[in-house]
Amino acid sequence: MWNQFRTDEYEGMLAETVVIAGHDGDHIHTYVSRPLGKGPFPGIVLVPHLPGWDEFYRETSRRFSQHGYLAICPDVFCRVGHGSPAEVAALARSAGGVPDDTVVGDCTGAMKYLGALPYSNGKVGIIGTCSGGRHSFLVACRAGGFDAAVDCWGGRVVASGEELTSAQPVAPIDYTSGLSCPLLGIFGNDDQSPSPAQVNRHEEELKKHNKDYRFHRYDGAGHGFWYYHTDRYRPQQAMDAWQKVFEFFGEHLRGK
Amino acid sequence: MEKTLQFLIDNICADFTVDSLLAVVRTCRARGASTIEDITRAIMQKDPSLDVSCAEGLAKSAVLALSESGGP
Repeated sequence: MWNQFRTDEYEGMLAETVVIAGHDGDHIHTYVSRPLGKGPFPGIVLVPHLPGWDEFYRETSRRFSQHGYLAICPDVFCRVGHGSPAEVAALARSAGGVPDDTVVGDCTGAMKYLGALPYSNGKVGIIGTCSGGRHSFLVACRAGGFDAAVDCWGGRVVASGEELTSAQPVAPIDYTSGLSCPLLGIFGNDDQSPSPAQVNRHEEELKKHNKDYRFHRYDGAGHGFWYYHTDRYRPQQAMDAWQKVFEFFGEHLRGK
Repeated sequence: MEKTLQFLIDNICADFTVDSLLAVVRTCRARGASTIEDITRAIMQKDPSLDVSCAEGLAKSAVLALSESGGP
């Protein structure tokens, strides 16, 4: 996937913030990027992580568009307020996190927005990292209409009773039977949330329900190993995982 | 104890490694700012996406990890 373009081909991209209808019809901000051209293009919803609706997610949206995808990243923190990504993330943390219900509604709204675009091929995937990975799996289980889902090291998919809150009242693993699309999981074996044992537990549940899934686990990598702006970055493992993600989305979202 | 600290960091996706978090505590102490409140503030300065509760949890666990390891 890296450097797989021709040097003599035209390439263009548009990226902007767009207001869409999210959960309960609330107006929420999203970051939308798309390749220029008539398409048709597949779409991807990106669910931001606990550190906020941040620059990493904007750059990641554009990375997908550079590879031929419509990308939308909803600001699931929109109802908390506005400010720098870190300021808003801190507010969201102090409020106990964003409610699962609003994230499911916001991502469903984002999926419908992408699917209705005249240059969409009608297929939409979902991906998230960290809490966004948890949400990606949760949304794929609770909301129909997605064609592929990627969970990158989503913590608390497997959660004990004391970890449940009014905002996040059910462990996502308990929704596994409702998973309605193929799932790709990307994990670091040094991660403690999710720990390798929790990833095993998640995998057992997927097998139990005969779900279409692939998990890739990386040695020498921990939580957040794609985050090139932090000490967690592991370039070799990250680039291999990116290749897996593009292959997976290519298989399930292209064509039609 | 380092495993617990690693769990805390991963669970809230804080922008630290165990080593960088312990380094914050050591730096605070070297400056004479050694209360949990001081360390919590320093942690929030390093990762402003954290709220007080998250940062205080990291501060307490990091202090405990250092004391158990017998380090400075």
